[in-house]
Amino acid sequence: MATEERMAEIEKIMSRRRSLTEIMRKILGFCKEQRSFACAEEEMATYPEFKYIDQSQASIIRILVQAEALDLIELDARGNVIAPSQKNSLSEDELDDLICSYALKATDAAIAVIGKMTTEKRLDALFAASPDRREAYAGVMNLCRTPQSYEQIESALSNKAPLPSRNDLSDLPVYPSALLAELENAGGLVWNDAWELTDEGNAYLKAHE
Amino acid sequence: MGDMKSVALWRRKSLSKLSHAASGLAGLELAEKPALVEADEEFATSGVKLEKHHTCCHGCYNNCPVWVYTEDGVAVKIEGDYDGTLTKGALCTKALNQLHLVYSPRHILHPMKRIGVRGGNEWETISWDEALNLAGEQMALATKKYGPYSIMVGAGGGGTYGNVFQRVTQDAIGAPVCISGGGCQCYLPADCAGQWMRGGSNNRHEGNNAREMWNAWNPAMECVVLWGAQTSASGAAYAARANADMRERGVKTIVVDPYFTEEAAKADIWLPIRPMADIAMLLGWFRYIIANKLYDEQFCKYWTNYPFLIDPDTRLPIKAEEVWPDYVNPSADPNDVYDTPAYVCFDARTNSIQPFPYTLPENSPVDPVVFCEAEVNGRMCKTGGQIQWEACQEWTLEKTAEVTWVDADTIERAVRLYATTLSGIGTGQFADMSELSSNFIFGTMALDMLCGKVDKPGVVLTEQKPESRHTTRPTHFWCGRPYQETFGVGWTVGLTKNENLRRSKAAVERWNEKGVDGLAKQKEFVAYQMARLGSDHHKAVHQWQLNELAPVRKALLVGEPYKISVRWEQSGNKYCVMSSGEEWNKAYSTIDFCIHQQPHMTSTTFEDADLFLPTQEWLEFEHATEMTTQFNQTYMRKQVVHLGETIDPFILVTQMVDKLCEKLGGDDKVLCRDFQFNGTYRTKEDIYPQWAEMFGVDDWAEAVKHSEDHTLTVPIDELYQFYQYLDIVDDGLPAGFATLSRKCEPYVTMAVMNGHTGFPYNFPYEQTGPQGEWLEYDAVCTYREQSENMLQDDKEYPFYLTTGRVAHYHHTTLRNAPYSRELMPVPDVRINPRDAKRLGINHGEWVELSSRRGKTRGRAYLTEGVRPGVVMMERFYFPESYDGSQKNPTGGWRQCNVNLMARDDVVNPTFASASWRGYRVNVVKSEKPEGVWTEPEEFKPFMPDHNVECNTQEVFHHA
Repeated sequence: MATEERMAEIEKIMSRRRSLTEIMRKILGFCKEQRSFACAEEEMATYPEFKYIDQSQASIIRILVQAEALDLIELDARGNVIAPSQKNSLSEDELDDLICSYALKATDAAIAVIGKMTTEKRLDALFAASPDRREAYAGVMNLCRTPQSYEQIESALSNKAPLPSRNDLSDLPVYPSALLAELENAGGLVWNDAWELTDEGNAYLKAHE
Repeated sequence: MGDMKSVALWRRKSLSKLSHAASGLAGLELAEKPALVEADEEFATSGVKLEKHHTCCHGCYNNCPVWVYTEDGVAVKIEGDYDGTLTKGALCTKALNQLHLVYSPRHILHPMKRIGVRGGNEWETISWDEALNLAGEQMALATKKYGPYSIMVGAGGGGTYGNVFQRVTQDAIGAPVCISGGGCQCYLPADCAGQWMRGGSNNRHEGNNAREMWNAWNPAMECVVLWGAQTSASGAAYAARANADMRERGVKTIVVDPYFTEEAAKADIWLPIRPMADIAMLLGWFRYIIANKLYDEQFCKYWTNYPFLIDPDTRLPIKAEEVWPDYVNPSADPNDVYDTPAYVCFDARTNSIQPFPYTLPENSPVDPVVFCEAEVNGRMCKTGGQIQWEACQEWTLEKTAEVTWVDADTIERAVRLYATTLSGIGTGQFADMSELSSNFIFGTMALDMLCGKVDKPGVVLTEQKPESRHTTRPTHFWCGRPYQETFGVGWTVGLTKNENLRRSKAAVERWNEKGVDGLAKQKEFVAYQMARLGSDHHKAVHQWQLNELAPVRKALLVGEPYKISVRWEQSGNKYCVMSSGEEWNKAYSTIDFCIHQQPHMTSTTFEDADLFLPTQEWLEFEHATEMTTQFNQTYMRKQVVHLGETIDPFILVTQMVDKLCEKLGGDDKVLCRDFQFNGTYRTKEDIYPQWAEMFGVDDWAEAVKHSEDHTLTVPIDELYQFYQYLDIVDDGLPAGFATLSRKCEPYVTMAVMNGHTGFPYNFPYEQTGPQGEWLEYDAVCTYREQSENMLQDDKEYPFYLTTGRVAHYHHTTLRNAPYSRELMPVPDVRINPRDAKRLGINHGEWVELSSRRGKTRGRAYLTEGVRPGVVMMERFYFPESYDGSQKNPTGGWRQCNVNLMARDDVVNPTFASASWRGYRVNVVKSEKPEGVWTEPEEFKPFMPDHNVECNTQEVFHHA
């Protein structure tokens, strides 16, 4: 399969459920270097997004492995990679004995995919798509330098002029939830029991002050 | 489970003993040994416990009464109840297939959580505690992050367990987005038309409206028009059965349908209309009736709003006070509670405009002219009748014939038969699923009103049961739910503005008394109502709390105007009942968490669900009101069997909202938690007393054991009621109708007002455009064509697609019932033999259909029942596509899904009805799709699995 096709397949899997996308992006970034399975699980557990997900780390990793976004590397007792030739003519039990642990490494296609998904690029795209909303986006991000509830954001925006929605099939103006979700999808904000500015979001704001 | 296993073991043991005995006998000479052997004691004392239960089917909305036989608790046979007033023991294949559905290996018996990627089929069983916790957490998370609008609900059509629980759930949590593949496309227009035009029921044939045609006890009807009603397919055991009796009695039928249905085959006159040319046909009928003075002039004058002069600017009937400010309306309620307005007409006696107060015709001070134009306050104003006349004036028989493709003589025979007999129009759902929905339903109802075919023996538009008689001026609120009492929102038609305002204020006060800011609560409710997507352009969607489909899809795709994070899908399979499947597939990927509740997994589960909550099949479902009434009988819906941990959907939604409130930190964190209980309940024990009272029994749980003894029956002579509008009520006036004018409104004033301000749904608030603009909806039947129609020359898509029901399936159900699938494994594409010959297609060969939006496949069914250039197909999906045996499992909705070609980008202005039929297509020869089962033996994995936990306890009990 050509790289572009593999990338398209990975993008499709990563976008199949929005609440997994950012977790997948982050873990793929973490696995640019080879990581042990356990280490990847521990890393994923630190993501604020992971707190709210019903899937286990193993389940998410398995999805990425099946999508050929992560290579699942079999290791022997000394931590060495097991070559395919070592497995030839082994019985199932012998194979079980040989494989002692696993490591993970993002594939080239996956690295290319997440390369397109850096927070900076996504925020750039978001801000560029709606110049009239720059102030609103930046305002929300600045508010979230300290954790904010949805009600606090809603209240803060209530005295602002309503912004027209990109949904041209409705006359309703943009609601705060849409702005928050857009900034969240771009990696600028994260929900951690309240809305918080991410480090990348903070860096982006600084760079564009 | 133990019982079931023992039954199975017993059967095997017995068979084994018998075969053993038989083989032994073969080698013996009978004369040498005694023929009788000592009985096996275990065998002799064993036996099955046979029981017979009465309940009613829920395979569609007809609720046919049935007897169910069980052996040791296992349902083994279903048969019709001969005491069903109209069904007389009949049942259809849909009902009979319940045995295959309830014991289907696909009937999910425990909550399931996805463990892999969406679009796969890997699940793990979890407990109900875990499931509710997970659902509650995810909904609470969405609410905390994005507010309550982020929870979206999916509702189903008449084949699901109703819509009440979805609506009250939305109201409880304040979640405005609810979509239904039916809804705006199915019955909502008729529901509105019945209420708006006569304050009551509508002309929809097949259900519980329009029953006079089946009046065998005092038969008066001479003719009935079945317009787009495929009764034999959609209601074979009930409405079609009753129709057969009706024809036996000599009632003539006129069938208007582009397809040669079973009804058309038996019709006295069949009008094989060009698909979707119905509005032209209706206008031809209007013109013929008016031009030939076949209408009921007296009824039109005094019992319709046709004589009212209409303000050309507002398009509303002019009230007398607008012309004569000092006018004193003699019929006005001195207490200012009930509304009985006086309008303005042109009076034939004085040859001038005059006030037209509401009175008995014989007491009327005026002789109103129905069709005229007159000057009022310096402007020329037309009557409602005149507006309808001008809309139909050009539709001569010749022009109607030219546009509808039915010859003029046949049209004339039909319209004359209709107009000169005791008759009425009974409609089907077909036009709801098109851009023409409002014009069609307004037109068919108005024709009956024009001809005075209202509330009298022998007509369709009748109200039934003793409750339809009034002692005060009739009123109506658009639904049975207490919005006005709870939130002070909405207008009760028939009450004055001041009385509606008083009720609104009283509701606010009640909140204040509870320590809640009532006005803020009211505004919160109205904001939630108006946040319904598409309601700004199609304001009648509020009738059923629905959203227009395309704006919701776009909201998911672009994330605006607000974020939708959780989808709570309470219907079967949206992928095959709506257009734009591929786009929806992308749109649903933006959802963070998807909950699906159904008895069986469908394409929707496969593609989108993260959590599956199993609900009950109808043999497991107990209820007193939900789908329990057929004709004059209301049955106790009895739980005959109960498998695993399946759950009553009414309990499920309540438990889910409980859990949401718990996770949010209290009932006060949602819009109005208790609103949920206007239709749902936490446990069966909670609702039993209410059901017992309804059925007049002391103890529901005991009574339902003998449900057959408690059927509520309205005596026939009480069922059929006529001339209610003439009853003199407490204000000394005839009762009239529960409409704005107290008369029938074939000039649909409510449609005009709805377009202007969203009336009556959000009163005392208005839903207008951003700058206060009004929208103008048609008030009379006005000529419209589908945006894609057969009058267009379209070389790329030379065929025209219509759809219709089939007898084997209801909506998306039953595709995993093996015997139905054996009968009809894949959808037929009905095509004229001349077209097929030209394309080199033989009967039974696969064809591909394509439209400007998508393509699908089906098997050619050659029939002269469709005219050349027309093809007809029914929706389908394939649950075998995600069977474990498949090499490449799929959701099963892409292969033969007619709605992939449908459109929802152009909709009816009033009701947002999308076009599930009536568009251009092309047809070419094709191949069978991969993985689709067609041969009987292939359906073996769907065969009933009796190795299950049978007759388990309900999961949730009263604390």
